[in-house]
Amino acid sequence: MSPNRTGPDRTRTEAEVVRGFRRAVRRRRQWQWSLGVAAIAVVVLVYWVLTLTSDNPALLPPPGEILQGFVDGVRDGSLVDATLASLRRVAIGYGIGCAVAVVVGSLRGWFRFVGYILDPIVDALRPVPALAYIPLVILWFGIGESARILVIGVASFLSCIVSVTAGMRRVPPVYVDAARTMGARRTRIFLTIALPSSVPFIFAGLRVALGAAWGTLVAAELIAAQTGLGYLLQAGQEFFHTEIVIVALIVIGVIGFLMDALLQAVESWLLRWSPETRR
Amino acid sequence: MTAGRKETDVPSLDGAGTAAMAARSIQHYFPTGSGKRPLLVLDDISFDVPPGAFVSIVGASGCGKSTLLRIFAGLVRPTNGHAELGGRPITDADAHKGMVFQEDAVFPWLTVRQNVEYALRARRTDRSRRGGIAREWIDRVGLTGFEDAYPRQLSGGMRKRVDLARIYASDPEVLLMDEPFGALDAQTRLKLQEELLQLWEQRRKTVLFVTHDLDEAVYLSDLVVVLAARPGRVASIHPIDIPRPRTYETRGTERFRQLTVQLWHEIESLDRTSRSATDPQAPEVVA
Repeated sequence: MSPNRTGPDRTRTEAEVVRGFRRAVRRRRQWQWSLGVAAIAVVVLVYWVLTLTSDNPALLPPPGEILQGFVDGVRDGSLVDATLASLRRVAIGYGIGCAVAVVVGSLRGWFRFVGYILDPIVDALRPVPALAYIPLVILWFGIGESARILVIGVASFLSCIVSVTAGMRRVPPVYVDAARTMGARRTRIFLTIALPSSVPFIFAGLRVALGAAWGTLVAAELIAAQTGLGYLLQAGQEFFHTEIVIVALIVIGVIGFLMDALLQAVESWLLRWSPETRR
Repeated sequence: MTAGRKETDVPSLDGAGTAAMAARSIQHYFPTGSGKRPLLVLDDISFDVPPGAFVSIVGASGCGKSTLLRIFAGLVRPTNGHAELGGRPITDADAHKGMVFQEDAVFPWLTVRQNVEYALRARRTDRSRRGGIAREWIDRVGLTGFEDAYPRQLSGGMRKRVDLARIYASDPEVLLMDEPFGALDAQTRLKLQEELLQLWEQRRKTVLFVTHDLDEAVYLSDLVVVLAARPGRVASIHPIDIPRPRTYETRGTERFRQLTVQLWHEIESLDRTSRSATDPQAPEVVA
């Protein structure tokens, strides 16, 4: 950075230039991490100061008490059980919902007549929030595990399908024309041109759906659940354990963050060909 | 398929029935929105493309030359009349008619090798032969060493070479090129014209080449078809009697300049008359 370190007139060798580039990348990563962690630390600090000025520790438990709540939850297994139960519901509901969304969304986006048939149905279902289906789901399926998973699945499906369809309708026509003049037919073009060129859109849908799935989880676990992070939230409120409510919120946030990071990693591997992928 | 041809002879226009490709009274309308009359873009287009010939189509922008090429590719079905390949009407796109586009049509999610092999896979070439054919064409366009690169890592000129390798590897009967070098810088364009001619000298496929660059048309072609605009019709067909093989120096010859100037004046006067009157002119052959 400072010109004196190498001297302004000294010619740098290629090896030095490569080392310089690597150092620049490393430095950027270090800044990214340390600023991110510092920001979280500031939030915790501000919260801690707030708890000090408050006269009701039951409503604003200090950070130490929250940490204690977390440790207790892990020790007695209640937090671990709740987390695993919720993860399982999200994984199944989200997986099924998104799989159906990718299949249905790409078929209706790609094949015009499938679109004519499915567009009115899907577009009429979309404005209805997934939570609004809960009463009907309870009437039809009772209040079991499948009802909770179904609600999460519906939420994932509805938020994923829009961008899958949009991606299919934005495939550059020149790729399709090129494939056709090479002798490719409908099915091959769908699988080898339409799908890969929609991958960025499909992943945008998957990431939005992930948020929707977690968002619906708590509501889904209101359906008479005895386990899960949503249940923990509710129980914490009922028994006036504010620290448990906060712990559950943090765990939901951290898991959502990690799952999104995983999706991003898969996406940038799948999109390693794209000029827009950041490395 | 054209093994008997000598290097210098110009394909003749007569000898109907032996044409590799032909346009037969093609007329084509575009929809213009409800209530309005459809737009006539091509009117009564007829000409023959002799086997093994390099034929260019030139004309003012909007004369429908790209649409005409897409009709030959089978990507567009004309309103009336038809295009022919080997005497049979063209009804659909397939691997017999390879096409190179002005836009970047190299699939960005596949590597150079996978792009070239895509064409072979689409036409169901034996798995065991794909690798060898792909390697051969990647080598011929000078991209050896870039087999595993993604298109984003290549320059515009290199991507066009991938396109050429891909289309040559799929071994179509005819090549259709829609301003393939139009988006490249001048230097790269000259270089690729050179390389295209070399490839063509090695494998004399029939080529139909759309361009608005008159130098390019004269340099590459045996025949130049001039289209008049609004609606597109054949105004004239010019045999290019410059001997082959042609080199960069060919562009400096008297004959080369005569031909390009003649074409320029013709397109200019067509443009003027099409603006003053919409009366279609009868096609004439300038020899």
